[in-house]
Amino acid sequence: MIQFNRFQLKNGLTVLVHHDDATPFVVVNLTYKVGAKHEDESRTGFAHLFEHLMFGGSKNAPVFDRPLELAGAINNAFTNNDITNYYEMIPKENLEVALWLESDRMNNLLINENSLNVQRKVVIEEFKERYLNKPYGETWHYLRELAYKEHPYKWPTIGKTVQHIEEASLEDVQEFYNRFYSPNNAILTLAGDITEIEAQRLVEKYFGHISATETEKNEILPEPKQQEARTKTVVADVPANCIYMAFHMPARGEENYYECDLISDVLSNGESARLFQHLVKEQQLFSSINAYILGSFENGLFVITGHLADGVNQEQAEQAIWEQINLLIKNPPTAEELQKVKNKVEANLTYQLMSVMNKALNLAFYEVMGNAEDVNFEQEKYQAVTVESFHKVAQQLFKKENSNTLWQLKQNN
Amino acid sequence: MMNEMPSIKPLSNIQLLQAEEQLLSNGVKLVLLPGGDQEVVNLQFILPAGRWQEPKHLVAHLTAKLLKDGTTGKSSKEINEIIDFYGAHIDVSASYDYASLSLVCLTKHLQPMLELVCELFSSPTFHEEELRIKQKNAIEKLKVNEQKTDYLAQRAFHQKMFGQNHPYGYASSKQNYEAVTTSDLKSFFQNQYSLSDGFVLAVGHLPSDVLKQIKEAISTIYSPSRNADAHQHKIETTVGKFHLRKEGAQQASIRIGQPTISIHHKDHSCLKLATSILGGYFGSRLMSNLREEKGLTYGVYSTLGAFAQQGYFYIGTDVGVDSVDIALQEIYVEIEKLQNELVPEDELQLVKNYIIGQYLRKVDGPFAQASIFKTLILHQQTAKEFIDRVEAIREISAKQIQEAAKKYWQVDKMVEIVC
Repeated sequence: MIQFNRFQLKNGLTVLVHHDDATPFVVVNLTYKVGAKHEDESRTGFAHLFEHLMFGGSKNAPVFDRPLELAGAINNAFTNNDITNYYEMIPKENLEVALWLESDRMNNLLINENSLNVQRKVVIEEFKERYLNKPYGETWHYLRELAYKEHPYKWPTIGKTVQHIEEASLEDVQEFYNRFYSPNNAILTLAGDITEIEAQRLVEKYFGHISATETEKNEILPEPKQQEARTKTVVADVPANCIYMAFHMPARGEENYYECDLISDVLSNGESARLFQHLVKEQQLFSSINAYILGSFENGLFVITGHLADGVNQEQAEQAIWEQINLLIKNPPTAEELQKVKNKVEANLTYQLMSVMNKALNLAFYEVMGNAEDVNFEQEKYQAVTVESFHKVAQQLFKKENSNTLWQLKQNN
Repeated sequence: MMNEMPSIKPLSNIQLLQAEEQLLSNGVKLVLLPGGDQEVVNLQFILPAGRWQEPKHLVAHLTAKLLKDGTTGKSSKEINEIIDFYGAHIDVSASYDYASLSLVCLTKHLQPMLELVCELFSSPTFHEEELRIKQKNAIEKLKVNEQKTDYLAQRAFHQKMFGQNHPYGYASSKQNYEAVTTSDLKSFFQNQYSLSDGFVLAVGHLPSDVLKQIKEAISTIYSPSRNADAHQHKIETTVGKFHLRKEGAQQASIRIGQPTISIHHKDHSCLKLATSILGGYFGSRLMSNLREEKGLTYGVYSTLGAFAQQGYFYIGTDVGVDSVDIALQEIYVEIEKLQNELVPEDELQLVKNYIIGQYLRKVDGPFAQASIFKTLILHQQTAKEFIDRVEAIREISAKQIQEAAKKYWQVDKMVEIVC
């Protein structure tokens, strides 16, 4: 259970406060409701590039990191398809330093050609380091494009291509900032040794004067229901053949989402799970295999990825996965198996409560999706899954016409 | 008022919890770190069974990895069913200096997990078939890693720094994996997995009945002392520049460094501070130069590593293949600058605060402190020595930093790898 209070400033900034005095820190987590899905298809990677520019200094704080380092804090940020999230973990006595910095870069960011130039290069190196310079690095470029035809989830956060990063202009950057970086498009979460009264005073002090702006967002096209199975094969410089299967599933928190998550656990959470036991240990067709869900805020994906063992042929491997899927379609799980994955969820949700950073992030995520209170109903929703609902959802999920199969094959196969 | 930065308050002193130590009837040392607001327990069993103690390459790693893959009473599958059923995590791994089994579970499920852990320590079987599967899959994973420049650079770096047969230096090769047999694992387990030569950390929710459970269970584990730590290995560094470029790569991985003083040395805090100024945080000199000024890399860092037997200094970065020369040049420029010029007072203060903030996070609650206590016990240090070492950072002068940089960064004695 994460207890919290919520209030809103006149400019529309939503504030969540969670009090935890066991830590000498306060987490300041500022979530902007803009992610890669809000980008134009011809200029992808922009939300993430912009995240880099947010560290380039603001009018009153020309070097963003310096005051935080001096105050004994750490800070970082991440961008995904749904949101851009900035955070500081700061000793409570220096909390105002973090609020002042976040306020100044929300209101007075310094954007110039030089910092854009440098960050373009940095992001291109990041693109290479994480996606181009390692085997299977481009998997999500292929898989997203295969699985999504309309929804902007079809490109990854880093961007479709390096060219898109190279082409980002100063005007684009300025426009993006004006459009999305405003208090009414943000959620500020404070978690740690701070009371609600203190939070109200400080947030009003540092953010009250910033004015709201019109944040007009592109219309996001829903993903049409997939009608037939899709397959794509890529031959690449990889050491082993790999298969990826993606099935469309509900968005995080929607009906049937919890069933899908537990299905992925039955297949692959822990070494006792079905895929590992049958396909890695007994039949030895794969050197590793996993099933998991993306948990995105809109149209989600259920993904299975497997590295084939040396010498195993493609059809045999694919068929073996389908056999495991068909078992789920034919037979409901045993009560004990369902209990096992529910117990795992219960434990994992408890472990998450041990970190004040995690608690802040979870509150923020749920608030973006609609209501932070929902974080406290997760446990209940997982425990409400029955053998029957699990089985029914498995039958809907694993239809051939809902499948997207990607192969990455080694050269001279 | 909004234009002005709020004043920065001095950071509070680092404090450690009082860890209570108990000696159980079978000679096992139990260290208690109670606390936390969730009903969760973490038990860490630390054993002298890492690379340092193994008689043959990769035996420590594979012994750890096979520990929960079968006992005389249970198959691998049955063991994993129990762990998963209770939503617990049992992770067994061997590092360079020790092996550890870490159990995390809800307090209400502790009893069955304790029984299982005792069984793992008393009758593991090390099946042929389980070993064969592990070897095969590890070799597959190795093939993937061998296509990554950062992995190749790190591997070459360790080989040159410590020697290709040294426990800190040797590479996990296909041949090494294939040469290990189940009898290697059995005898390594026999010789090294004795808890009285190691210790157990109990962390988290530990009311008296839970503590009683823990003590009773651990006391039943057969743990004769074998004075296992008599192993010796000599470092053989191959100084020089090794450029082993990978064909078709878009980026090159750079690693530079040398073996250096250990955590016990009086200059260690000075050198740590110098290393942090150079490349230990986002605003460091290397990051400012290579990333924020020139855009050559996504990240560059320098670190002071601490093995139980040896310290080492190193710098790492990945840069575009056309930027290798300029990156190398600027790295050496920044080293020299710290050797030739005093660090300005405001920068020194900033890095001190940054490091103290880091320590404040490392002591934030019993679960965070567990890793500090583990390291202290392994390095045979007291809590007071730790606190003194951290607090001493506040007093270090720019002059001392410069001296440490001159004395311990010997560019002509460094290993430079580009892959």
